[in-house]
Amino acid sequence: MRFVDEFRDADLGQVLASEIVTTVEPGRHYKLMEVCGGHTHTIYKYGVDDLLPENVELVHGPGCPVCVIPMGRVDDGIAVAHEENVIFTCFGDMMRVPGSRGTLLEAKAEGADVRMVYSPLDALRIARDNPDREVVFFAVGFETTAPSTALTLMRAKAEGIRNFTCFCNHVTIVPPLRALLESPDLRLDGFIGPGHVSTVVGARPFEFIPADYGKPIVIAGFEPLDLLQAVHMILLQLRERRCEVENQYKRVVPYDGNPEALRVLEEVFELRPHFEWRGLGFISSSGLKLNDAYADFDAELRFPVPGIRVADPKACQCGEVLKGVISPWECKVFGTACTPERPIGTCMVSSEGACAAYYNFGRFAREREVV
Amino acid sequence: MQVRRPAESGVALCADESGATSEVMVDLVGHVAPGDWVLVHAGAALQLVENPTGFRQ
Repeated sequence: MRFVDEFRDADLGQVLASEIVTTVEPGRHYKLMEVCGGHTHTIYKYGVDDLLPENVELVHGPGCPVCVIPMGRVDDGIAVAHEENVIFTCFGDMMRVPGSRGTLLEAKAEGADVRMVYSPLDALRIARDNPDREVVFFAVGFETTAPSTALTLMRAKAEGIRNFTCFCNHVTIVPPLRALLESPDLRLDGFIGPGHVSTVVGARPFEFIPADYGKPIVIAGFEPLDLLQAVHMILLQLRERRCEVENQYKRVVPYDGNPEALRVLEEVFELRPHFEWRGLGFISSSGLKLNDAYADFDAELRFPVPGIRVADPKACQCGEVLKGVISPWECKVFGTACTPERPIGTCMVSSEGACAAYYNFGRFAREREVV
Repeated sequence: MQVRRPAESGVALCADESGATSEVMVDLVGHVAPGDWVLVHAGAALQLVENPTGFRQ
């Protein structure tokens, strides 16, 4: 299979769905978690969960790096954006994430120079083009996007650029997975592993899941057939009492990931002792900051940052959605007080958020379960 | 994305399936030539791929 339409073939999807039905044990309920915003998106866009039997449930984990940023950090970004002479750059999703007193988009309306970029390289270009301005890049993302930030900072350093800094909110994938596995709230049977984070870190870092927790994990691609095949592979492992890391996305993901990408991450970043995740609280060694060699490029050292913890609004249940405890449509404000046009929480803002995916693919009519 | 113009100082011009082009840092994938396919995130190529989810040309 070489072309994308083959990976979306409905007939093949039905074949895989039938195989899944023959693989499950009747009467057993399976709860499988995916931890990648891209997977959430595919599941809702193509209705992958509709093809699964009733007793196979897909839950969404904290796979959207924008969704896990707590409001206090958004406030910090907005504070930097309001600093004199700053051009504040960020990805599109970040512009609409609510802090405690508004969004970056609203800050722009109030006069802050906030600009959308598609990559940190765009932000560096703005810095080169505006030598008398201070350009800040709001970096977000897992190990998938951190290498791009690292490469850009390495270029900035090599070129001797003095007016470019990074407000770093990169996070790593393993600590939240461990936190979820340790959580008494969840009883998961297996994981669908993140496809593109794995291109950087490889399959190796996920070995602890079968080894320490006895759960299978299958790294999956992003087309609907990829996800169906990955679900089938997890269910087969469970039926055959196997427990291992499998790679359904071998065409893109090598077992060792990208060693050069890991090397550049090590060159530029170090782990923060702990970092706050929306819904999951503080997790040790889960966030990246610029290391001493790149201190000159750290926005948190160049600008005053309030650093105040802000609790989520009472109505917001993003934390429970991010942990897979509830589905988007079980949130009390889903589709009513919280919509993509007027979001309360991050899961509705980000294109990778579970709530946005649910809402945008027209699935908000599902009835709520009485809990 | 598909490489359209070779890299200069580690940055190549690449096109997505709609044909829109952008600069991509290719330091992490070794040598790339026009016509090669790369997986790109936030402006950096992470893996050389065999057009696994490409559209029929």
